[in-house]
Amino acid sequence: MDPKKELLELINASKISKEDKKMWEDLIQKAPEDFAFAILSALKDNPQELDWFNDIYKRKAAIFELSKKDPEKAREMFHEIVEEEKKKIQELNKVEE
Amino acid sequence: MFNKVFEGKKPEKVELPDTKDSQELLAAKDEQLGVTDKSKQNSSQTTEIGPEKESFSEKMMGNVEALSKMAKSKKAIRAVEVLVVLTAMAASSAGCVTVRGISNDVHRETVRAKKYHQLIIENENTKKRALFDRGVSDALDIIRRGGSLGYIPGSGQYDRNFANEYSEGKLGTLRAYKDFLERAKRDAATFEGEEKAIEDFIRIYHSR
Repeated sequence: MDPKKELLELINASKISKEDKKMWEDLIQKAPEDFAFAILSALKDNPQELDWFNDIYKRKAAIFELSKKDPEKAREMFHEIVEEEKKKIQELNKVEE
Repeated sequence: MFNKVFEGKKPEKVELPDTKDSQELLAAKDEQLGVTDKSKQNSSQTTEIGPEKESFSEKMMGNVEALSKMAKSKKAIRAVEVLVVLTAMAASSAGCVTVRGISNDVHRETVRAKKYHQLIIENENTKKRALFDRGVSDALDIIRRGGSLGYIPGSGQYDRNFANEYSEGKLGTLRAYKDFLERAKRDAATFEGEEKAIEDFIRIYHSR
């Protein structure tokens, strides 16, 4: 199946809000095919992670927007997210395949 | 497809002497080009070439990409891949960069601790493009797509030197690239893809 279609099916079957589903649909349609493939590869095994990715994406988009006006504040907020990501990666490192 | 690659000044043929050790040679070239190898100072930081400062988005992308060093399990590696992609897309949605492309690395399973997605982004204001990866073949990819390279975060000096010199139109990069491949082989990694890439490069170069 086409990775974009498959990913959209997965997203539509998830519990994220309608607005977020629309956001992901737009995002996937605009992105190169490999983007969809990368995200699909990660979510196939861990569909429940969509919530976390969804949250991270929205927060980062807001921070990049903020960076135009207040780069220092944006940098600070971004580092907070990166710390969260580090914790997440450490958790996933402990998960057996 | 490749026309744009060769637009502008015709590359000047520069022969690099055979007698010098390649690493020493490239280090000297780095110095000449003003390359600061920050990766030697802090491997989690991005590496900048040239006088331009990193933009916010470039810096942040570098920070996220640095997570790749932490990822050990397949699940963690996949998560990092997604985070790198999402960060680029978030930057893109805010109009900070334009995402030009991404590709999976064919050697990910072989050298998975080192290789992740390749992201090509372009700063909307400066039009500077950056490549987020660690592979020389990716430098070829971006060149093929018509981009000029500002810097390659986290790359070895061979990669950066290759890209930098090529963007200056010097054939000497080919020698640097060959040296990189030879060294990579000695380091026991498998780089069949890069070998194919250099063959392509030679073919494309000579078909001009």
